[in-house]
Amino acid sequence: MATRYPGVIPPHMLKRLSEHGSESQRRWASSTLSTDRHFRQPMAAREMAAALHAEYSNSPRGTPSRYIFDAGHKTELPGELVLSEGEPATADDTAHEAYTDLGATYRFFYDVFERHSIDGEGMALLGSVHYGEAYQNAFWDGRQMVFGDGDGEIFLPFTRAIDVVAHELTHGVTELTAGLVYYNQSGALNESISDVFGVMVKQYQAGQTVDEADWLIGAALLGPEVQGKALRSMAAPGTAYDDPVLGKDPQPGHMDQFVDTTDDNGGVHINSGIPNHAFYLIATELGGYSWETAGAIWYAALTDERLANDAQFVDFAGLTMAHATQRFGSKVADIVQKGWQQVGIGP
Amino acid sequence: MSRFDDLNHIARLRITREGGIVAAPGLARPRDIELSRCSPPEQQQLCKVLAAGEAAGGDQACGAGDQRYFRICLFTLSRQEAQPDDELRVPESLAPDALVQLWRDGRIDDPS
Repeated sequence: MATRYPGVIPPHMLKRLSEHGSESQRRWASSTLSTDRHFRQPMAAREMAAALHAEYSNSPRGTPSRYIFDAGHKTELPGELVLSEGEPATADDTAHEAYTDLGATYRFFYDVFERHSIDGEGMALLGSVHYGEAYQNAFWDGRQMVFGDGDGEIFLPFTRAIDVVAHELTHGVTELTAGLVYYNQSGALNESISDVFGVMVKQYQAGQTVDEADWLIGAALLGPEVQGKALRSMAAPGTAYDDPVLGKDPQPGHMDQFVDTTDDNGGVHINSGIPNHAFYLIATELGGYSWETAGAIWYAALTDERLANDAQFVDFAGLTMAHATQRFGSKVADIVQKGWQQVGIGP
Repeated sequence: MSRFDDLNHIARLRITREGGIVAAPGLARPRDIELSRCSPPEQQQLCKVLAAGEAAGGDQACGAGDQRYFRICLFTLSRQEAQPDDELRVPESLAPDALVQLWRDGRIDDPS
Protein backbone atom coordinates (compact mmCIF):
# COMPACT_ATOMS: atom_id res chain seq x y z
CA MET A 1 0.00 0.00 0.00
CA ALA A 2 1.24 3.47 -0.79
CA THR A 3 0.56 6.43 1.47
CA ARG A 4 -0.14 9.63 -0.41
CA TYR A 5 0.42 13.01 1.12
CA PRO A 6 -2.46 15.35 0.42
CA GLY A 7 -0.39 18.33 1.52
CA VAL A 8 2.36 17.74 -1.00
CA ILE A 9 2.90 20.63 -3.36
CA PRO A 10 3.91 19.33 -6.80
CA PRO A 11 7.65 19.98 -7.36
CA HIS A 12 7.98 22.90 -9.68
CA MET A 13 10.42 21.25 -11.94
CA LEU A 14 8.32 18.13 -12.47
CA LYS A 15 5.49 20.46 -13.29
CA ARG A 16 7.71 22.23 -15.75
CA LEU A 17 8.67 18.94 -17.29
CA SER A 18 5.07 17.77 -17.48
CA GLU A 19 4.07 21.02 -19.13
CA HIS A 20 7.04 21.64 -21.35
CA GLY A 21 9.05 18.44 -21.61
CA SER A 22 8.71 16.00 -24.45
CA GLU A 23 7.35 12.54 -23.81
CA SER A 24 10.86 11.11 -23.87
CA GLN A 25 12.04 13.79 -21.40
CA ARG A 26 9.34 12.69 -19.02
CA ARG A 27 10.47 9.09 -19.37
CA TRP A 28 14.04 10.21 -18.78
CA ALA A 29 13.08 12.08 -15.62
CA SER A 30 11.50 8.98 -14.16
CA SER A 31 14.54 6.92 -14.99
CA THR A 32 17.01 9.41 -13.57
CA LEU A 33 15.11 9.74 -10.34
CA SER A 34 14.99 6.01 -9.78
CA THR A 35 18.70 5.35 -9.84
CA ASP A 36 19.10 5.50 -6.12
CA ARG A 37 17.91 2.00 -5.33
CA HIS A 38 21.37 0.50 -5.64
CA PHE A 39 23.37 3.28 -4.06
CA ARG A 40 24.67 1.50 -1.02
CA GLN A 41 27.91 -0.34 -0.23
CA PRO A 42 30.12 2.75 0.07
CA MET A 43 32.62 0.89 2.22
CA ALA A 44 33.04 -1.86 -0.36
CA ALA A 45 33.66 0.75 -3.03
CA ARG A 46 36.19 2.52 -0.83
CA GLU A 47 38.08 -0.69 -0.16
CA MET A 48 38.02 -1.58 -3.83
CA ALA A 49 39.37 1.83 -4.83
CA ALA A 50 42.15 1.64 -2.23
CA ALA A 51 43.17 -1.77 -3.54
CA LEU A 52 43.14 -0.51 -7.13
CA HIS A 53 45.25 2.50 -6.25
CA ALA A 54 47.74 0.29 -4.43
CA GLU A 55 47.96 -2.03 -7.42
CA TYR A 56 48.00 0.44 -10.30
CA SER A 57 49.64 3.66 -9.05
CA ASN A 58 53.07 2.76 -10.29
CA SER A 59 53.63 4.51 -13.61
CA PRO A 60 56.92 6.26 -14.38
CA ARG A 61 56.91 10.03 -14.49
CA GLY A 62 55.42 11.35 -17.71
CA THR A 63 53.15 8.33 -18.14
CA PRO A 64 49.59 8.11 -16.83
CA SER A 65 48.07 5.06 -15.23
CA ARG A 66 44.48 4.93 -16.46
CA TYR A 67 41.84 2.33 -15.66
CA ILE A 68 38.31 2.64 -17.00
CA PHE A 69 35.43 0.67 -15.53
CA ASP A 70 31.94 0.02 -16.84
CA ALA A 71 29.39 0.48 -14.06
CA GLY A 72 26.83 -1.29 -16.26
CA HIS A 73 24.14 1.33 -15.58
CA LYS A 74 24.23 0.45 -11.90
CA THR A 75 25.51 2.61 -9.07
CA GLU A 76 28.02 0.28 -7.48
CA LEU A 77 31.57 1.46 -7.98
CA PRO A 78 33.86 0.99 -9.69
CA GLY A 79 32.21 -1.66 -11.94
CA GLU A 80 33.91 -3.99 -14.43
CA LEU A 81 37.40 -3.08 -15.66
CA VAL A 82 37.11 -2.60 -19.44
CA LEU A 83 40.21 -0.62 -20.43
CA SER A 84 43.65 -0.53 -18.83
CA GLU A 85 46.63 1.71 -19.51
CA GLY A 86 48.25 0.92 -22.82
CA GLU A 87 45.54 -1.37 -24.15
CA PRO A 88 44.12 -0.79 -27.64
CA ALA A 89 40.96 1.27 -27.98
CA THR A 90 37.77 -0.37 -26.86
CA ALA A 91 34.63 -0.50 -28.98
CA ASP A 92 32.84 1.39 -26.23
CA ASP A 93 33.07 5.04 -27.29
CA THR A 94 32.29 6.33 -23.81
CA ALA A 95 35.00 4.25 -22.16
CA HIS A 96 37.40 5.37 -24.89
CA GLU A 97 36.46 9.02 -24.35
CA ALA A 98 37.10 8.74 -20.64
CA TYR A 99 40.47 7.11 -21.31
CA THR A 100 41.61 9.70 -23.84
CA ASP A 101 40.25 12.69 -21.90
CA LEU A 102 41.96 11.55 -18.70
CA GLY A 103 45.14 11.04 -20.71
CA ALA A 104 44.92 14.55 -22.14
CA THR A 105 44.35 15.97 -18.66
CA TYR A 106 47.31 14.05 -17.28
CA ARG A 107 49.42 15.30 -20.19
CA PHE A 108 48.42 18.92 -19.49
CA PHE A 109 49.31 18.76 -15.82
CA TYR A 110 52.58 16.97 -16.54
CA ASP A 111 53.74 18.97 -19.56
CA VAL A 112 52.80 22.38 -18.19
CA PHE A 113 53.30 22.01 -14.43
CA GLU A 114 55.40 18.81 -14.20
CA ARG A 115 52.69 17.32 -11.98
CA HIS A 116 52.71 13.53 -12.13
CA SER A 117 48.99 12.78 -11.82
CA ILE A 118 46.50 13.84 -9.15
CA ASP A 119 48.80 13.46 -6.17
CA GLY A 120 52.01 14.36 -7.99
CA GLU A 121 53.27 10.84 -7.39
CA GLY A 122 51.63 8.87 -10.19
CA MET A 123 48.26 8.13 -8.61
CA ALA A 124 46.15 5.88 -10.82
CA LEU A 125 43.38 7.63 -12.74
CA LEU A 126 40.28 5.55 -12.14
CA GLY A 127 37.12 6.37 -14.06
CA SER A 128 33.75 4.65 -14.16
CA VAL A 129 31.43 5.17 -17.12
CA HIS A 130 27.78 4.20 -17.69
CA TYR A 131 27.02 5.00 -14.06
CA GLY A 132 23.31 4.70 -13.26
CA GLU A 133 20.45 4.92 -15.72
CA ALA A 134 20.71 8.04 -17.87
CA TYR A 135 22.47 9.59 -14.87
CA GLN A 136 22.88 13.32 -15.36
CA ASN A 137 26.03 14.09 -13.46
CA ALA A 138 29.77 13.52 -13.20
CA PHE A 139 31.69 13.64 -9.94
CA TRP A 140 34.90 12.95 -8.05
CA ASP A 141 34.22 10.80 -4.99
CA GLY A 142 37.60 11.22 -3.33
CA ARG A 143 39.00 8.10 -4.99
CA GLN A 144 37.88 8.09 -8.59
CA MET A 145 35.94 9.90 -11.29
CA VAL A 146 32.41 8.86 -12.18
CA PHE A 147 30.52 9.68 -15.36
CA GLY A 148 26.83 9.34 -16.14
CA ASP A 149 25.45 8.87 -19.63
CA GLY A 150 22.97 11.73 -19.43
CA ASP A 151 19.54 11.40 -20.99
CA GLY A 152 20.63 12.17 -24.56
CA GLU A 153 18.37 15.20 -24.85
CA ILE A 154 19.38 17.58 -22.09
CA PHE A 155 22.72 16.03 -21.22
CA LEU A 156 24.90 13.89 -23.47
CA PRO A 157 27.41 11.45 -21.91
CA PHE A 158 29.55 13.40 -19.48
CA THR A 159 32.75 12.03 -21.02
CA ARG A 160 31.88 13.97 -24.16
CA ALA A 161 33.27 17.20 -22.72
CA ILE A 162 37.01 17.13 -22.03
CA ASP A 163 36.71 20.21 -19.83
CA VAL A 164 34.22 18.37 -17.61
CA VAL A 165 36.50 15.34 -17.32
CA ALA A 166 39.39 17.67 -16.46
CA HIS A 167 37.14 19.54 -14.01
CA GLU A 168 36.55 16.32 -12.09
CA LEU A 169 40.21 15.29 -12.11
CA THR A 170 41.13 18.75 -10.84
CA HIS A 171 38.85 18.21 -7.84
CA GLY A 172 41.28 15.46 -6.92
CA VAL A 173 44.25 17.80 -7.31
CA THR A 174 42.60 20.46 -5.15
CA GLU A 175 41.65 17.91 -2.51
CA LEU A 176 45.26 16.76 -2.24
CA THR A 177 46.79 20.24 -2.30
CA ALA A 178 44.87 23.17 -0.80
CA GLY A 179 42.00 20.96 0.39
CA LEU A 180 39.60 23.86 0.00
CA VAL A 181 36.54 23.34 2.18
CA TYR A 182 33.51 22.73 -0.01
CA TYR A 183 31.28 25.47 1.37
CA ASN A 184 30.72 29.18 0.79
CA GLN A 185 33.66 31.10 -0.72
CA SER A 186 36.30 28.40 -0.23
CA GLY A 187 33.93 25.95 -1.91
CA ALA A 188 33.27 28.35 -4.76
CA LEU A 189 37.04 28.77 -5.11
CA ASN A 190 37.35 24.98 -5.22
CA GLU A 191 34.77 24.87 -8.00
CA SER A 192 36.35 27.74 -9.88
CA ILE A 193 39.76 26.07 -9.83
CA SER A 194 38.19 22.99 -11.43
CA ASP A 195 36.65 25.19 -14.13
CA VAL A 196 39.88 27.14 -14.69
CA PHE A 197 41.98 24.01 -15.16
CA GLY A 198 39.16 22.33 -17.07
CA VAL A 199 38.98 25.13 -19.58
CA MET A 200 42.77 25.26 -19.88
CA VAL A 201 42.89 21.54 -20.66
CA LYS A 202 40.31 22.11 -23.38
CA GLN A 203 42.31 25.00 -24.83
CA TYR A 204 45.62 23.10 -24.55
CA GLN A 205 44.11 20.11 -26.34
CA ALA A 206 42.79 22.35 -29.12
CA GLY A 207 45.94 24.51 -29.27
CA GLN A 208 43.82 27.61 -28.77
CA THR A 209 44.97 31.05 -27.71
CA VAL A 210 42.86 33.07 -25.28
CA ASP A 211 41.31 34.92 -28.22
CA GLU A 212 40.39 31.73 -30.06
CA ALA A 213 38.84 30.00 -27.03
CA ASP A 214 35.10 30.07 -26.26
CA TRP A 215 35.61 30.11 -22.46
CA LEU A 216 32.61 27.82 -21.99
CA ILE A 217 32.42 24.91 -19.56
CA GLY A 218 30.61 21.77 -20.67
CA ALA A 219 29.50 23.06 -24.06
CA ALA A 220 29.96 19.62 -25.58
CA LEU A 221 27.61 17.82 -23.23
CA LEU A 222 24.46 19.87 -23.58
CA GLY A 223 21.89 18.05 -25.69
CA PRO A 224 20.00 19.47 -28.66
CA GLU A 225 16.91 20.24 -26.59
CA VAL A 226 18.62 22.70 -24.25
CA GLN A 227 18.18 26.42 -24.73
CA GLY A 228 21.74 27.31 -23.87
CA LYS A 229 25.33 26.89 -24.91
CA ALA A 230 27.09 25.35 -21.90
CA LEU A 231 26.98 24.72 -18.14
CA ARG A 232 28.88 27.92 -17.42
CA SER A 233 30.46 30.84 -19.22
CA MET A 234 33.69 32.26 -17.85
CA ALA A 235 33.55 35.21 -20.25
CA ALA A 236 29.97 36.14 -19.32
CA PRO A 237 28.80 34.37 -16.14
CA GLY A 238 25.03 34.03 -15.95
CA THR A 239 24.51 33.66 -19.69
CA ALA A 240 25.24 29.97 -20.29
CA TYR A 241 21.61 28.81 -20.42
CA ASP A 242 18.05 29.97 -19.97
CA ASP A 243 15.99 26.86 -20.40
CA PRO A 244 12.47 25.75 -19.47
CA VAL A 245 13.83 22.64 -17.75
CA LEU A 246 17.16 23.80 -16.32
CA GLY A 247 16.05 27.30 -15.42
CA LYS A 248 18.36 30.29 -15.84
CA ASP A 249 22.10 30.26 -15.25
CA PRO A 250 22.45 31.81 -11.74
CA GLN A 251 26.17 32.70 -11.86
CA PRO A 252 27.33 36.22 -10.97
CA GLY A 253 30.47 37.72 -12.44
CA HIS A 254 31.08 40.42 -9.83
CA MET A 255 31.04 40.66 -6.03
CA ASP A 256 28.19 43.15 -6.30
CA GLN A 257 26.00 40.24 -7.39
CA PHE A 258 27.44 37.70 -4.92
CA VAL A 259 24.66 35.24 -4.09
CA ASP A 260 24.23 34.76 -0.35
CA THR A 261 22.53 31.38 -0.12
CA THR A 262 22.53 28.12 1.79
CA ASP A 263 21.63 26.21 -1.39
CA ASP A 264 24.34 24.37 -3.29
CA ASN A 265 26.63 24.27 -0.24
CA GLY A 266 26.54 28.01 0.01
CA GLY A 267 26.54 28.61 -3.73
CA VAL A 268 29.73 26.80 -4.65
CA HIS A 269 28.65 26.37 -8.30
CA ILE A 270 27.06 29.82 -8.33
CA ASN A 271 29.62 32.24 -6.90
CA SER A 272 32.44 30.39 -8.66
CA GLY A 273 31.46 32.64 -11.56
CA ILE A 274 33.31 35.50 -9.86
CA PRO A 275 36.84 33.99 -9.72
CA ASN A 276 36.10 32.31 -13.06
CA HIS A 277 35.53 35.69 -14.62
CA ALA A 278 38.64 37.12 -12.97
CA PHE A 279 40.72 34.37 -14.58
CA TYR A 280 39.12 35.07 -17.94
CA LEU A 281 39.81 38.81 -17.65
CA ILE A 282 43.42 38.28 -16.59
CA ALA A 283 44.20 35.59 -19.16
CA THR A 284 42.71 37.56 -22.05
CA GLU A 285 44.49 40.73 -21.00
CA LEU A 286 47.79 38.84 -20.84
CA GLY A 287 47.14 37.25 -24.26
CA GLY A 288 48.70 34.17 -25.83
CA TYR A 289 48.01 30.80 -24.27
CA SER A 290 46.13 30.81 -20.99
CA TRP A 291 48.30 28.21 -19.32
CA GLU A 292 51.61 29.97 -19.97
CA THR A 293 51.18 32.89 -17.59
CA ALA A 294 47.71 33.05 -15.97
CA GLY A 295 47.61 29.27 -15.57
CA ALA A 296 51.10 29.18 -14.11
CA ILE A 297 50.10 31.83 -11.57
CA TRP A 298 46.91 29.97 -10.63
CA TYR A 299 48.78 26.68 -10.22
CA ALA A 300 51.42 28.33 -8.04
CA ALA A 301 48.70 29.81 -5.83
CA LEU A 302 46.79 26.53 -5.60
CA THR A 303 49.88 24.64 -4.50
CA ASP A 304 51.17 27.37 -2.20
CA GLU A 305 51.21 26.14 1.40
CA ARG A 306 50.00 29.55 2.53
CA LEU A 307 46.62 28.91 0.88
CA ALA A 308 44.38 27.95 3.80
CA ASN A 309 41.63 25.40 3.30
CA ASP A 310 39.02 28.01 4.24
CA ALA A 311 40.49 30.67 1.97
CA GLN A 312 38.25 33.46 0.73
CA PHE A 313 38.41 34.90 -2.79
CA VAL A 314 40.55 37.79 -1.58
CA ASP A 315 43.08 35.40 -0.03
CA PHE A 316 43.51 33.52 -3.29
CA ALA A 317 43.69 36.78 -5.22
CA GLY A 318 46.49 37.96 -2.93
CA LEU A 319 48.49 34.81 -3.60
CA THR A 320 48.05 35.12 -7.35
CA MET A 321 49.39 38.68 -7.19
CA ALA A 322 52.35 37.55 -5.10
CA HIS A 323 53.22 34.78 -7.56
CA ALA A 324 52.67 37.05 -10.53
CA THR A 325 55.19 39.50 -9.08
CA GLN A 326 57.68 36.81 -8.16
CA ARG A 327 57.58 34.91 -11.43
CA PHE A 328 56.65 37.49 -14.06
CA GLY A 329 57.28 40.94 -12.61
CA SER A 330 55.26 44.02 -11.80
CA LYS A 331 53.65 44.49 -15.21
CA VAL A 332 51.97 41.09 -15.07
CA ALA A 333 51.16 41.59 -11.38
CA ASP A 334 49.36 44.82 -12.25
CA ILE A 335 47.25 42.99 -14.82
CA VAL A 336 46.38 40.33 -12.27
CA GLN A 337 45.43 42.94 -9.69
CA LYS A 338 43.32 44.84 -12.21
CA GLY A 339 41.51 41.63 -13.20
CA TRP A 340 40.53 40.91 -9.62
CA GLN A 341 39.48 44.51 -9.12
CA GLN A 342 37.20 44.26 -12.14
CA VAL A 343 35.20 41.56 -10.35
CA GLY A 344 35.15 43.53 -7.11
CA ILE A 345 37.99 41.80 -5.26
CA GLY A 346 41.04 43.47 -3.76
CA PRO A 347 42.22 47.01 -3.28
CA MET B 1 16.51 7.82 19.31
CA SER B 2 16.47 10.43 16.64
CA ARG B 3 15.87 14.14 16.83
CA PHE B 4 13.17 13.48 14.24
CA ASP B 5 11.12 11.15 16.45
CA ASP B 6 8.62 13.92 17.02
CA LEU B 7 7.63 16.43 14.35
CA ASN B 8 4.78 18.04 16.30
CA HIS B 9 6.49 21.41 16.27
CA ILE B 10 7.20 21.31 12.52
CA ALA B 11 4.84 22.97 10.07
CA ARG B 12 6.52 22.17 6.80
CA LEU B 13 9.29 20.06 5.26
CA ARG B 14 11.16 20.88 2.09
CA ILE B 15 13.22 18.23 0.35
CA THR B 16 15.59 19.14 -2.47
CA ARG B 17 18.31 17.30 -4.32
CA GLU B 18 21.35 19.53 -4.57
CA GLY B 19 24.94 19.34 -5.71
CA GLY B 20 26.14 17.96 -9.01
CA ILE B 21 28.38 19.62 -11.55
CA VAL B 22 25.94 22.41 -12.30
CA ALA B 23 23.64 24.34 -9.96
CA ALA B 24 20.84 24.62 -12.50
CA PRO B 25 17.78 25.81 -10.56
CA GLY B 26 15.56 23.35 -12.38
CA LEU B 27 17.44 20.29 -11.16
CA ALA B 28 16.76 20.72 -7.43
CA ARG B 29 13.03 19.93 -7.77
CA PRO B 30 11.93 21.05 -4.30
CA ARG B 31 9.23 18.95 -2.65
CA ASP B 32 7.20 20.72 0.03
CA ILE B 33 5.14 18.81 2.58
CA GLU B 34 2.67 20.58 4.87
CA LEU B 35 2.54 18.57 8.08
CA SER B 36 -0.92 19.90 8.99
CA ARG B 37 -2.30 18.08 5.98
CA CYS B 38 -0.76 14.75 6.92
CA SER B 39 -2.56 12.19 9.10
CA PRO B 40 -0.86 10.97 12.31
CA PRO B 41 0.24 7.70 10.62
CA GLU B 42 1.66 9.69 7.72
CA GLN B 43 3.54 11.91 10.14
CA GLN B 44 4.93 8.81 11.81
CA GLN B 45 6.20 7.61 8.45
CA LEU B 46 7.89 10.93 7.84
CA CYS B 47 9.61 10.63 11.22
CA LYS B 48 10.91 7.20 10.23
CA VAL B 49 12.20 8.44 6.89
CA LEU B 50 14.09 11.33 8.45
CA ALA B 51 15.51 9.09 11.19
CA ALA B 52 16.63 6.60 8.52
CA GLY B 53 18.31 9.40 6.58
CA GLU B 54 20.04 10.59 9.73
CA ALA B 55 21.23 7.06 10.52
CA ALA B 56 22.40 6.44 6.96
CA GLY B 57 24.86 9.27 7.08
CA GLY B 58 22.88 12.43 7.45
CA ASP B 59 24.54 15.65 8.50
CA GLN B 60 27.82 14.62 6.95
CA ALA B 61 29.64 17.26 4.99
CA CYS B 62 28.40 16.31 1.57
CA GLY B 63 28.53 17.45 -2.00
CA ALA B 64 32.32 17.71 -2.42
CA GLY B 65 33.60 17.00 -5.91
CA ASP B 66 30.17 17.53 -7.49
CA GLN B 67 28.51 14.68 -5.62
CA ARG B 68 24.77 15.10 -5.21
CA TYR B 69 22.94 15.06 -1.88
CA PHE B 70 19.46 15.37 -0.46
CA ARG B 71 18.70 18.31 1.76
CA ILE B 72 15.70 18.32 4.10
CA CYS B 73 14.76 21.66 5.65
CA LEU B 74 12.32 21.71 8.56
CA PHE B 75 10.25 24.83 9.24
CA THR B 76 8.24 25.69 12.32
CA LEU B 77 6.38 28.28 10.26
CA SER B 78 4.49 27.33 7.14
CA ARG B 79 5.08 30.52 5.19
CA GLN B 80 7.37 30.02 2.21
CA GLU B 81 9.83 32.78 3.07
CA ALA B 82 10.59 31.38 6.54
CA GLN B 83 14.13 30.31 7.40
CA PRO B 84 14.57 26.61 8.20
CA ASP B 85 14.73 25.75 11.90
CA ASP B 86 16.53 22.47 11.36
CA GLU B 87 18.23 20.77 8.46
CA LEU B 88 19.38 17.31 7.45
CA ARG B 89 21.72 16.51 4.57
CA VAL B 90 22.10 13.00 3.21
CA PRO B 91 24.59 12.05 0.47
CA GLU B 92 22.81 10.60 -2.56
CA SER B 93 24.99 7.51 -2.33
CA LEU B 94 23.68 6.80 1.18
CA ALA B 95 20.09 7.95 0.88
CA PRO B 96 17.42 5.44 1.95
CA ASP B 97 15.02 4.45 -0.83
CA ALA B 98 12.11 5.88 1.14
CA LEU B 99 13.71 9.32 1.24
CA VAL B 100 14.37 9.23 -2.49
CA GLN B 101 10.81 8.14 -3.12
CA LEU B 102 9.42 10.85 -0.87
CA TRP B 103 11.36 13.49 -2.80
CA ARG B 104 10.60 11.98 -6.19
CA ASP B 105 6.96 10.96 -5.78
CA GLY B 106 5.69 12.73 -2.66
CA ARG B 107 4.71 9.44 -1.08
CA ILE B 108 6.19 6.50 0.79
CA ASP B 109 5.36 2.91 0.04
CA ASP B 110 4.23 1.33 3.28
CA PRO B 111 6.03 -2.00 3.67
CA SER B 112 3.15 -3.31 5.78
